[in-house]
Amino acid sequence: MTMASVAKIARRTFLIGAAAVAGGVAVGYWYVSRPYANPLEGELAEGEATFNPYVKIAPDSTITVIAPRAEMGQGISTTLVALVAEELDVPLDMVKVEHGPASFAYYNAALLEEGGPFPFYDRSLIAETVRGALGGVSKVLGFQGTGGSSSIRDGFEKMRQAGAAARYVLVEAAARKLGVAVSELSTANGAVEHKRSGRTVAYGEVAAAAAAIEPPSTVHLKDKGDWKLLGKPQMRVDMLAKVTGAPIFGIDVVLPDMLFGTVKMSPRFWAKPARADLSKAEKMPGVVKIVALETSYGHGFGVIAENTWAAFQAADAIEVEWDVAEYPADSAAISKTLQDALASADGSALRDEGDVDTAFADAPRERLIEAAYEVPYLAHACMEPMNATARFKDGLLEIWSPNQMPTITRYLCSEAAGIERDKVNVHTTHLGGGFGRRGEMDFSIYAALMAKEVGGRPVKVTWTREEDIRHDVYRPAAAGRFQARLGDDRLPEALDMRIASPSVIGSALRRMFPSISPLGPDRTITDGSHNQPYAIPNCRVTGIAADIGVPVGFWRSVGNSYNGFFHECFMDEIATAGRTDPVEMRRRLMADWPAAVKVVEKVAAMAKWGEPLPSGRAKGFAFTLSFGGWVAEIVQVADTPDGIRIEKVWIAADVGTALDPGIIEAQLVSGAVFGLSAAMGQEITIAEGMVEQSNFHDFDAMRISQCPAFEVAILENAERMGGVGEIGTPPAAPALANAVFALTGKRIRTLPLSKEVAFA
Amino acid sequence: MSAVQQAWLDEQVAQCGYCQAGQIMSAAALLEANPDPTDQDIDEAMNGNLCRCGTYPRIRSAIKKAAALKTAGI
Repeated sequence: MTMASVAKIARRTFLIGAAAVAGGVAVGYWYVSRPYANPLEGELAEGEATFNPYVKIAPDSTITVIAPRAEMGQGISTTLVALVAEELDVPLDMVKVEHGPASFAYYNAALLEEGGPFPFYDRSLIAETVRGALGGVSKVLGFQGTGGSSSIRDGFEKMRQAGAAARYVLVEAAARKLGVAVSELSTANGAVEHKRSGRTVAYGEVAAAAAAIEPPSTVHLKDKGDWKLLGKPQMRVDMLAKVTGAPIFGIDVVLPDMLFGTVKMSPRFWAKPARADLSKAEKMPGVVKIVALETSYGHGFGVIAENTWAAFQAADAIEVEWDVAEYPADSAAISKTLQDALASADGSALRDEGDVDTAFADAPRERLIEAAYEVPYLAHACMEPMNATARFKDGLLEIWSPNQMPTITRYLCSEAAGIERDKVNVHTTHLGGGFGRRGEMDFSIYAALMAKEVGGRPVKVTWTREEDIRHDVYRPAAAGRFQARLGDDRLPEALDMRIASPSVIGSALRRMFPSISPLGPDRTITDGSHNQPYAIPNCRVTGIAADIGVPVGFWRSVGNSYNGFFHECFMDEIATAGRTDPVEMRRRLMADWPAAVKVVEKVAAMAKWGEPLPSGRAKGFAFTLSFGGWVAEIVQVADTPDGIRIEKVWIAADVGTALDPGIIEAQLVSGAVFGLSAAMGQEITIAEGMVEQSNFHDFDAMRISQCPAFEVAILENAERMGGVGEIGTPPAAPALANAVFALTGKRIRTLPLSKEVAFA
Repeated sequence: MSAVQQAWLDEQVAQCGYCQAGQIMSAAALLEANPDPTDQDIDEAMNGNLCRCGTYPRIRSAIKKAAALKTAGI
C-alpha cells in the first residue's frame, strides 16, 4: 500500500471490530500497562499453587495448564498447552488441561490487531502502530475471544513466557531445597534434576515455595532448535475423550435437580408475536412454565419442562402469529437491494492505487473484462445444536455454555439478568462445532433469562435443529461488479472491484450493543479482495454496506469466504481473456511477495499443473491470503455419469511458523471441506421474511462419498506467523469454480454451483 | 478400547468430536459385516454420518487401520 492511499484511508474513520468499540463502553476502564489479577487465585484446590493465569501445580505434581480459548475442533487446546509445556519441560500427557474461567486476564490481543485497513504483509510504521494500538484495545477491554484464526498468534509469546516463568521459580525453589546453585540444575518430565548427586525434586514438592518467589520481568525462552514439542505433530489432548464419547459438550451438561427447555423465537428476525395462545402448550404433560423472551437477538418464548422432548412438543403447540418483517421480505428483494447498492455512488475504497478512472476511461473494448458475481446467505450448521445451561440461585448466575466469547457472554448475561457482572460465572465447555456461530450470546442469554423463572433450579436449554438453522447469524449474501483492463503484456493493468454486502460488524453491534452505532466502513465487506498480494498498477476495491436486516455474523473466514470466490474467479477470467496460464499469471503478479510465489509454485508442482489430463478431467487454481496464512489450492474435477466429481485437492499453505503440522494439516483440509460444501450446494433463502431451510435435508454439507483425496504441504517462508483455522476455506470455492470452468467451459458467477451443474 | 477406537486415536481423527461417536459406531458396524472393506464400501457405509469439520480423509484411514488391527487380532 502506498503512503498516498494510507493517507486517504486514515482520513476516514474505520471500524476496529464490534467488540472493541462496544466493549470500551461496556467495560469502561483503561488499564494499559497493569496486568490483570490471576483468576486462578480464587479457585485453587487444597495445597495447589499457581504461578500465573496459565499454570497450577498440586503437591502430587498434577500440573494443570489453562488453555483459555474455545476448543471447537481446531486443536487449539493442544497447541496452547504445548507452548506452556515446552518451556515448563513437561510432556503433554503429564498435563491436565482446563479452559479456565471467563477472565479479562485471558484477553486476545491478536484478535483485534488486524482490524485496521492494512494488508497483513504491510509492515509500515503506520500499520504496525495501528496493530499495537488495537492489540492494546483488546487488553484494555479484557476481550477473551476465540476467532479470527488468532489464538496462536496471541498466545505464542505469552504462553511460552508463562511456562518459562513457572519453570524459573520452580528451579529456584529446588535450588534452595537442595542447597545447590541454580546453574547445577536442569529440568525434564516435570521434575528438577541435580545430575551430579542424582537427586530429583518433583515440581509438586516445591510448587508452594516456588509460587512465593517473584519471577524476573523477562524470562529467556528456548531457541527454536531446542524445541521438543513445538514444530512436531502432537497427540491431541482432547482425542481420548472424543473417541470414548466422554460428556464434554454443552449439550452433555447434567446438574442435580435440572429442568430442560427449548426456545421458539420469531422466524421473522426481531418481529414480535402479534397474537399468541399458550393455553394448549401449557397444559401438555411435563411442561413447567412458558416465558416470553424479549432480547436484542429477537422475541419469542422459552419453554421449560421436565425433559427436552416435552419442551420440544410444547414449543410446537404454541399457537402464534408473528409480526411482519421490517426488511426486504424475500431473496429477490434482497438481491435487488445488493444490486441497488452496487449501482449507487456509495462505498469506501480500502485499496485505491494508481488512477483507476483514467485507466478505464480510454480502455479499448477488446482489452476490457467485466463480470457480475453474487453469493447467498449461509448458515453455520454446527453439529451440536445451540444450547446452554444456566442456574440462578442465591443471587449468583452460573452458565455452562459452549461459547467463543466468555467475557462478553458474562457481560450480556449479567445485563439480561439485571445483576452485577461479578455475580456471573461462565463455564466454557467443549464446542460441537463453532465456525463463528458460537461467538454469539443468544443461546446463553436465553438460558440465563429462563433460569431466573424457576426458583434456583438449573435449566438446560436445547434448540431444535430447525430453530438453529432458522435463527443463525448468517454469512452475508454479497454481490460484486468487477472490471479489468489488460495491458500489452496481457496482464491486468487496471482492476476495479465493487462489492456490496450487509455489514457483519453493524449487525453484530445491533444485537450485542444496540446503543452503539457503527462508526465507519466495515473492512470485512472486502476482506480477501482489498488486501491480496497482487501488484496491479491501477487497483481499487470498494465495499458498500447494504443494510438488509437479516442478522449476519462471523462465518469461518468471514469476508474472505466470498471475496476469495469473487477475486480468484475474476483473476481466472482475466487469465483466460489474456490467454495467460493462471499459475503463471500469479507468479508474475505476486513477484514482490516471495511467500506467495512459493506456495503457488509448490501447489503447482504437487498437482503437476500444466501436464495434460485425460479427457473429462480438469483442474482449477486459486490463492487467498487470509488471517496471515498464504494458501494456494488446486482442485481436480472429473465428469462422471452421476455429475461432476471432486477427485483431488492439493493445498500449499505458508503460516510462517508451523507449531503442529498434524493439526495444521487437519485444519487446512477441514477449511477446504467447509468451503467446498458451501460452494457445491449450500444456500439460505428468505421467503415472507423467514428462512426457508430448516435441517440437513435442505441445507446439507459434503458427505464422505463426495470427499476428495487431499495432499497438503506446509511451508514456513513467511516473515510473520499466520493463523490456521480459517485459511483453508477462502480458496476452495474459487478453485472448484475455476475447475468447473476448465471442465465445462461454463463460467459460473453465482453460488451454489449446484444451481448450474450437478455434483456426484 | 476397541480396535476402531484405537485406530481413531492413532490416526487422530476427531476435530470438534461431536459426530465421532456416531462415526465410530457406523465404522464398527461396517467392520462387523465386512472385515476388509474397499474404499467404495467405506464411502457407502459411512455416507449417512455427517461431519462438519471434514474429518472424512482420516476416517477412511482409520477404518483401514482398524480393519488391519482386527485382522491381526489386536
